[in-house]
Amino acid sequence: MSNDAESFAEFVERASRRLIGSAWLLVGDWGRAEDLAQTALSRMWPRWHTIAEPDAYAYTVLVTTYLRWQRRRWTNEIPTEQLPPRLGDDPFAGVDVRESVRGALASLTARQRAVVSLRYFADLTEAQTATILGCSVSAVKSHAARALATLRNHPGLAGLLSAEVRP
Amino acid sequence: VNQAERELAALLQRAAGDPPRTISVADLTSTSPVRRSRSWAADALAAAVVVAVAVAVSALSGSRLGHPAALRSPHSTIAAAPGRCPSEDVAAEPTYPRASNVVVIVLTNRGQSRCTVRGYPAVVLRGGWPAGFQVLPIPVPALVQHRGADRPVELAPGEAAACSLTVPPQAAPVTVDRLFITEVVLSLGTPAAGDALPIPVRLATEIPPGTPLPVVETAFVPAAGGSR
Repeated sequence: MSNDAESFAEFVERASRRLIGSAWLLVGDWGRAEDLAQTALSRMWPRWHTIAEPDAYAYTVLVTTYLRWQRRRWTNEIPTEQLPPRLGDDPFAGVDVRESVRGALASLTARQRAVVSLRYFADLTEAQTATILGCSVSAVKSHAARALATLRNHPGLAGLLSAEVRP
Repeated sequence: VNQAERELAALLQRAAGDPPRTISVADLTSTSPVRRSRSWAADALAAAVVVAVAVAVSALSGSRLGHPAALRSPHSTIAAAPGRCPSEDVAAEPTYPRASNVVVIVLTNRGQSRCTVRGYPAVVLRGGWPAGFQVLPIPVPALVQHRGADRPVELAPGEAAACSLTVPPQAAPVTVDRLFITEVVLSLGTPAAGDALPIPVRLATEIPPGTPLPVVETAFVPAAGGSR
């Protein structure tokens, strides 16, 4: 195996879990998240030797592909209909954090969702997020603030955020 | 970073930090095409089939869960058909078309070649009786009753098949015997081969601890254009 192949394999090994998680926060579906992450990684390999910042590159492909899917309405996500009817009384609301988070994220715009995934899950800086989204740092801040406000108010996250954080 | 941001980050980590599978470099070569995403039309068709399966399930579950004599233990009817779908090549998506005690599992062939899913996959249920906040997933003993014709379903890449699991509904008012199923482990081959597919689910049912749970399982049927 060449050095390139080895270093790419190492990168895939290290980064794929994080990429799939970030993708899931965007699309709310593991199968689709894997597609998205695989798309990002597959596009990197042919130009691997030219990529200086693999993480930034991977997230850029991930997010731009997601935003393109959104524009084409290639989403099979059903935002909140699948949540239990009496969320507040359902112990699953606490147990199944995943379902609650998915429902809450579905109330965000695509770009807010991308900012949430990149800033708070992938741990990228505001500047990195701005570069990936092709916008200004202040636009990232504004997306993040609006997303945070929406999520803090979302009934699905009522039992999952502390009282200090809830409005 | 303020408190709200910290809490949100922790929440996102809990929700998305542990994907059911990861990608290996073997999945990615410069020559292999990227797995195609289904189009919205295929998704719509899949949804229609899921609803059809759900209607069938609801008709079946209307007859209650069968006489104990008719119940069989899990793992009893698995045959490793030639060309069966390897678990690493399928994506499993649980959907909840109707009640909180029914899950329809849609398996999509995400591999590069045709493969077959057959009949009733062996199922192992994991879940628990809630102690306070948390449900610790433990194996839940189950008695599985099969419904529907045991026919192989051949899947081209991108095609899907669906099966369903129905557990007894919760009584109202809810009693202390409420059980949550948080994971279904399907075996596409023989369970001994370790070809298992864990699928996070959310089913609520009611049964005293230590009692085997009656489960109605329908055989795989094609979804979204799968061929017989």
